[in-house]
Amino acid sequence: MLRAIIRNKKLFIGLIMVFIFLIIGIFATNIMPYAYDKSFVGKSLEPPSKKFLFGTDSLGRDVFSRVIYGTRISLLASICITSISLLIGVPIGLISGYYGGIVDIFFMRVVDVLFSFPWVLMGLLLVAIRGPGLLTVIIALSLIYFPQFTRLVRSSVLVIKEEDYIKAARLSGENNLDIILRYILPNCFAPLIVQTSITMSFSILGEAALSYLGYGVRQPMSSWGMMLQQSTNYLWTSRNLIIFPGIFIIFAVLAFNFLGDGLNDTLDPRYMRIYGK
Amino acid sequence: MFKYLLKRLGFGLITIIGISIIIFSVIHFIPGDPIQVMFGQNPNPELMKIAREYYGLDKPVVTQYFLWIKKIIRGDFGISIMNNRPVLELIIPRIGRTLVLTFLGILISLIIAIPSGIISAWRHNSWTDFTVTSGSLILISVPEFWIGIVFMIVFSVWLRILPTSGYIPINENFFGWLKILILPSLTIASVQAAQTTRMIRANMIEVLSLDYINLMKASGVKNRRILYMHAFKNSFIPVLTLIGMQFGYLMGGIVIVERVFAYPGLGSLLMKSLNERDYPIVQASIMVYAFIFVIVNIIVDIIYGFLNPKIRY
Repeated sequence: MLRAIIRNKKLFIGLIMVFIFLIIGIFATNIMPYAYDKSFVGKSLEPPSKKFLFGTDSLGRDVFSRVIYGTRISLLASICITSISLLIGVPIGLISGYYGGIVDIFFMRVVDVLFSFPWVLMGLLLVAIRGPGLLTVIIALSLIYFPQFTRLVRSSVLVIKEEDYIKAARLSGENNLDIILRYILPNCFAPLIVQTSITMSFSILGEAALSYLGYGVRQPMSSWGMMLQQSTNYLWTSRNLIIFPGIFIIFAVLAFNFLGDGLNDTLDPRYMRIYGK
Repeated sequence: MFKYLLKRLGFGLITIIGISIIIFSVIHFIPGDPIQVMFGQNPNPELMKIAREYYGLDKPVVTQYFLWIKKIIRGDFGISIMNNRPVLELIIPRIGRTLVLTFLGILISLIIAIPSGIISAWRHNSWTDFTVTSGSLILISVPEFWIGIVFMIVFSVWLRILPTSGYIPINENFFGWLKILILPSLTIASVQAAQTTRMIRANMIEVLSLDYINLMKASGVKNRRILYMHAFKNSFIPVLTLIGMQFGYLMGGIVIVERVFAYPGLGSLLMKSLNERDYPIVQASIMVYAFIFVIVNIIVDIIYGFLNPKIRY
């Protein structure tokens, strides 16, 4: 297994990048030189310097500290979105695929509608209902991303439930819940892990976009997308305000994309047979 | 074919009904008297009476929904709270502008994606392939709005050849209009192109490994002919489905791009109305988005049906 990880460059790079981001997120308050909301009077829109690594924003706050703190907020939001999607999506997929019939038809129609709904519009609809805020963003994006898990699990279940050992388990009188949890769910793990990684990258992008539009975290908190809100005002003057949060978003998304791609290759049984052990 | 079309139409209808229920319920999630909340900033008794009548809030919920649907089918989306004009009147010019942007974005993305996907597949595992695949992987990791802002820095601040934002009507100054559209549509196209390239490449690699392609190569058919006449035709069907499936994602991206470039499309109106709590416009514009989305998907399904003989018979 370890050999397979090192052998697959994407997986290796992805794992290291994700690890670095997690460390930054967890130890954000230890890394930040200043508090995320501390304003330095008379120091607004300073260029990057030794004192302010990434410069300061219009309110004289240290951009480096805000980007680092934003890492914590953005990652936390994405982890919430992905976990909620998993918690809603997987059980529905299992039930839908295992029982079939009317239950399946009903759930799949709901999933189809949610799946096809433009994600930004889902965000805006929830803002109309709940008002802006990080929780609104988390709810909206979870509603958009859980259908992918449902579809994935359902299609795996449809294949697995025809296997002989499932039929045998059923004939020997094991109850349905046991069969689902002990035999069917473990068989869905490989595609689920890949999908989780991909959903993380989508969540980071989604949270950034909705925060950019002004519907996410509120001032003086910081998240990567929110730091870019007023960026078009600084096209001519302080481009450091645009570059640094953007680079953090790109690298975080890339990290999970690499991880997803790499896992996809590694978890493919054909790959494991060649490089595994 | 007929049965297939009927099924797709039915699915479109279900989607529209599902979305309309979500949109309809927005007004019921507002705590307290929704009309009072809606007119909070500028109460106007006369308009409040009209709005109350429009939503029929005194009737049972199910009746309210059907009454509302009936009005929407007639094209009556209510009256805007902020400027007292019929919502439809405010929305229609915006729809056109957003569709122009959408169309240009897809067009440019195909112009970029088709050749790069084909070359990448043909020279599978070469340096060209590596450049294209890693380039597209990086591009799908960049948020649209950031690409837009970077384009502004490059083309408006450094090169000073394109405007950053604003709008010029097409009948006033054609070239001015075109200049305004370039950056937003390039922004939309870049992310879209990355995804389409990945898809075309994957499909082409699969098609190129099939027996009939090898047979053609062996019998001396020119490479270019194999690529463009045979392989591409067969790998384009899944790409078409992808465009349909991603259309929802694309429309979301356009809402954001409209904000970046202050482009006066449907998305800008929607966000402005959302901030002003002008609910009739919010409901109507989301409904219009849903309509466009469903119609595009039905069109894609029809083309798909014609291209794919398995479905036709």
